[in-house]
Amino acid sequence: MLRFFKSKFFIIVLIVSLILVIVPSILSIMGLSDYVRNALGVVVSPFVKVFDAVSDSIHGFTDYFTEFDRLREENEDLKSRISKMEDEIYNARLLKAENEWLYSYLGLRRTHSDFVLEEANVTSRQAVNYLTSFTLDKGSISGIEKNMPVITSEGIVGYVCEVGATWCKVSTIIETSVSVGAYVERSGAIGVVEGEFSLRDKWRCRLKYIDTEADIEEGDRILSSGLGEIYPRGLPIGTVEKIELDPAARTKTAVICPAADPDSLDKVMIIKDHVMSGE
Amino acid sequence: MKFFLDNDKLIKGLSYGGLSFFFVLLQITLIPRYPIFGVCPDIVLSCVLSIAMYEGARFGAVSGIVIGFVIDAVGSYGLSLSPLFYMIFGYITGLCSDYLFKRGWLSFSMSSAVAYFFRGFLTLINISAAWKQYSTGYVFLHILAPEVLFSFLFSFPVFFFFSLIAHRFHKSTDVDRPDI
Repeated sequence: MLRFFKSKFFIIVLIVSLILVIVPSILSIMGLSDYVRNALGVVVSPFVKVFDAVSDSIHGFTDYFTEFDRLREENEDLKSRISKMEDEIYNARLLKAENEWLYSYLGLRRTHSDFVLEEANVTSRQAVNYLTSFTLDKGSISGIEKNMPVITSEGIVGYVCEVGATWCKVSTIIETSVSVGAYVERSGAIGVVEGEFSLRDKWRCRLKYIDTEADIEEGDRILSSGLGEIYPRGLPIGTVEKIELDPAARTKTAVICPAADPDSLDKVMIIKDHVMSGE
Repeated sequence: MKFFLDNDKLIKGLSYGGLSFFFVLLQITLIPRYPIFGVCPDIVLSCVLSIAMYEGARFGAVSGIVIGFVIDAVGSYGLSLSPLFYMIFGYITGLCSDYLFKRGWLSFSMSSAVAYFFRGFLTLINISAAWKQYSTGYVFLHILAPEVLFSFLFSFPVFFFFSLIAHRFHKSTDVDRPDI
């Protein structure tokens, strides 16, 4: 067996391999081995690039499987988080709207600290081209009674004319059957606001029985006088749009544009209790 | 006839060289990227063993020198003992297949088991010298054992590819015994 290791061939390849081990080692110690490595690197590098590209592809392919479960879990987690955040955003929007709405009543509460208010939503409107009454989602269970005033932050809307357990109907201020004692904020001139059939479709009402000498101008703000059993004093009714003479009664009348906007009526306040003037 | 024989040898040499080069590239690109249990199996040594198994001691020794030199030059941080080591195992495996064993899977598995055992032994010495903070037991369990095991297992597919070439060029894989 030893003869194989004494053969001329083996001795030659042994010497060659020793040279290939020793010489590069010496070159490496001298810092010159880079020449050999660089030369081989130049030859091999294009092939290495190809293999690296293949390796990258395989890596991406295997990632698809190894990462799939993690990505699916992450996806589900993100979906649930998005859903939760959407809920939060929706609730935040509702709260913001409610906050703005309540804030708009803050001034009213400051001037009328005696008011006991009940928030209500408009659930249905009268199915005609002009609005004169609508239904709210609060009724006797919530302590709502007939003739309670209904307002918005802008002013009077109407009063409760019919009450159910969980609902109530509101007659608006432009109804012909409604009369509200009123006065001109600027001058104090008094009159009575009534609905008028001819003005109803324009969402207007009329201030009647104004003395001919009374100081009233277009643009004047009209407030409730508190006379009567329904509305407290000082609530805005609307503004004077047009002043006319009533020759028959020898008084002046004025067309009033109600302060409450019918288009934006979706939430209102019902005044459950207040101190009437003179009490 | 001589022309065909030379041409045949040339094609055979190119085929072995090409396949070895392919496995060298695999060894330096793909395998380090996907280590198995933290170690990279050595499939290049099995190229040398496969060539030696089918082509004999001379071819095995020369391919060991060349492949060992190339893998050291392109695949490691510095030139090391691979040409000598691969040459010796190429030569011994070639001798064994020429004179002791019948060429085939069984003899290859024995050759590769011995070769990888010694390769592991050399690695153990190198690692123990370089990383004194690790115990020999730790190195054996976490580096050597998986390296030797997976190198051994991966050597069979390599041998399979070389056997395809060998069968293409030999009518019988058990060729005439050479006279060294």
